[in-house]
Amino acid sequence: MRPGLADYFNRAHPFRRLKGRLAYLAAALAAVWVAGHAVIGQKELYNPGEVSAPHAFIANNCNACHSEATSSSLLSRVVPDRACETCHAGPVHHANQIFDNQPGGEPKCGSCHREHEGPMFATAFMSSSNCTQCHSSLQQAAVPPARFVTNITSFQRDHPEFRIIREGRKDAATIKRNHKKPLRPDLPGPGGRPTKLECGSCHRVKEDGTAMMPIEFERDCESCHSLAFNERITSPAPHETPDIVEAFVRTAFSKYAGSRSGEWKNDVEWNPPRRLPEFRRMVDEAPRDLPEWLEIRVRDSSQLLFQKKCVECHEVEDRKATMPVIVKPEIPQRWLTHSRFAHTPHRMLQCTSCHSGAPESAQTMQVLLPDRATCLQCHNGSAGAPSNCVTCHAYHDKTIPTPRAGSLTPGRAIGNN
Amino acid sequence: MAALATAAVGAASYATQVLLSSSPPSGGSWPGLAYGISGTGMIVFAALLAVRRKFPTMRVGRMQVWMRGHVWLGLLSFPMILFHGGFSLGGPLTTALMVLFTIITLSGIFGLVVQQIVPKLMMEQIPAEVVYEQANVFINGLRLKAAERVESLFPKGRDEADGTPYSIVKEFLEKEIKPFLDDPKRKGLLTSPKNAEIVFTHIRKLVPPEAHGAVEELRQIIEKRRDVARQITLHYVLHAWLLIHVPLSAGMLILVFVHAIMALRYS
Repeated sequence: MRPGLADYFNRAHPFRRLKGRLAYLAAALAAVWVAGHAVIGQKELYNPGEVSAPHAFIANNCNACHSEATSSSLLSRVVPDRACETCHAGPVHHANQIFDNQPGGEPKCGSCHREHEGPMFATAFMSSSNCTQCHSSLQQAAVPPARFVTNITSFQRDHPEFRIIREGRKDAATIKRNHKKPLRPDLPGPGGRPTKLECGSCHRVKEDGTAMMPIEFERDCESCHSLAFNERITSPAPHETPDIVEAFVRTAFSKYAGSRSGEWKNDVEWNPPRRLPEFRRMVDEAPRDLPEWLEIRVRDSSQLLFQKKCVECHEVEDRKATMPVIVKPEIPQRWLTHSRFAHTPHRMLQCTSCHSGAPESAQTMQVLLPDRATCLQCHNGSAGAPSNCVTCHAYHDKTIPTPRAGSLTPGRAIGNN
Repeated sequence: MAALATAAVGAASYATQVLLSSSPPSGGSWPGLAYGISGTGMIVFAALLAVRRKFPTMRVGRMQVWMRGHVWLGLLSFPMILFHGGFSLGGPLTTALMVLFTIITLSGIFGLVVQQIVPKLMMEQIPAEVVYEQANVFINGLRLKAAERVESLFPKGRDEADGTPYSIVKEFLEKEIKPFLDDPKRKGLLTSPKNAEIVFTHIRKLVPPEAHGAVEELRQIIEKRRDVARQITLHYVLHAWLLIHVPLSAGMLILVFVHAIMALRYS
């Protein structure tokens, strides 16, 4: 055996030595990279992603949320709820909720709201599993009485029919609403001209694109249902309470008579009577002076308004009285009070594709809301329209007022001092 | 099969969560953590192969089993880490980790493919394979053997060898054989096997028949050296990827540790 032939076991081959040295070098470089960031206090290295746009102002201030002051232990920098509550009230979901077997208990903010998912990520747009962790087998405290379905796993699978449809509720509004009549194609319009109304002729979406605006007489009704009461007075009566209407009529005629002081004398139609009683009545009713003419005009106009015009839409109590009582319409502003709905995202749809009963509805009591099956045509998990719980429901009770004054200054908010 | 089944289960559970929640689970969620922990466990096991190799006599399972575990768990760890990260790169540290992990995985796959092909090529092309670590010793041996064989031609009883077969072969040794033994890729008469055959045929014609045996031995030495050179080239093809795979794995393990600590601290 030649010298040196058998000792190769004891010496690493240059290739192996190179491999080993490169491994140590790579490990050292990785450690130096991390340590370098630690030395200069740069924590951007560990940022798992950009924060959402609403939190962009604290993007460079990790301590705003991950601070020692707000963390539960020395080593942990997990964001506690109180860090979120510096800016967000986060009111409780339901007073009678049970979470984690605790009456009134709540999940941690961070267990539902995700961050560092990029500027376009909506932290409030949560996964349905956050909701169904409770609602698939809901526990509810006995007081106040529980009223929610306890086993919902998704909208398409087992969400109950909307309560108002499920319980067959009627519209209790006192307004005389008839959709069929104004939607007919041969509707006579102002001046007797035929016109065609559409849903949008009377119903308008709020500026925020959510619910419909409440119907306003002046904006939505008056062009057809004018409150004009006499050809002498150009302004129609206001859509107000009877006492204001009566005062308006009286004032209007007073002004009119003031500018035309002699007209009252000509304001009797002296038609040749065929019988004596008729002639006597004409004589009796003819005004003797201006105040009497004024009273007659006010009385006739008020009767026209209260007994004919108001009752077209309103229920009127004691309608023959001098001052009748208009029953409050009580039109509900929102029907699905446990959810939120936005009309604007649905603007590409025909109104009747959801409110299918409207064109044939002739009674106020008929509720014209779509049912769950109508929504499921698109919101079914496969058609593309979202069907997450938060598409329609909000977790936090936003009806609870949020304190306006915060505790931060701009400098403290962005972490400058 | 178990690895494929695990990958299928992981993919199915991930798809289910995405479908149910319409967004992938984050790395800090319980499913995300489960993917991360299982993926990291597989990576650590794969990395332990290096430790296992340091102690070949240790009774902790056969090396073949460790190698299979390294390959399959290493491959399986990649989708697990993708599920953990929700198919996004995240911040600088996690981006660096994913880049390293991708290069490591791709180099590992390259190594796996190469190891299926190159050993067969070596079996076919190099009939007398030498122990790679012993190659330099073997080449030195060839040098010594060539020199000894040429010296054996020195004419006995003479001080001068000018004009003898010895002088011809000696010159050939110094000018062509030794440089070739040092570096077979260098340009010379013996670099190409075809040229080498022609050259040796010519040398045989220049020397008497009693020296033909020595010339033939020199030719065999040249061919052995050529085989060793080919073996070294194939060895590099077979192992060069390890110069990427192993160092990057070491660096990645450091960063994985840091990522785990910091992620658990902040989420």
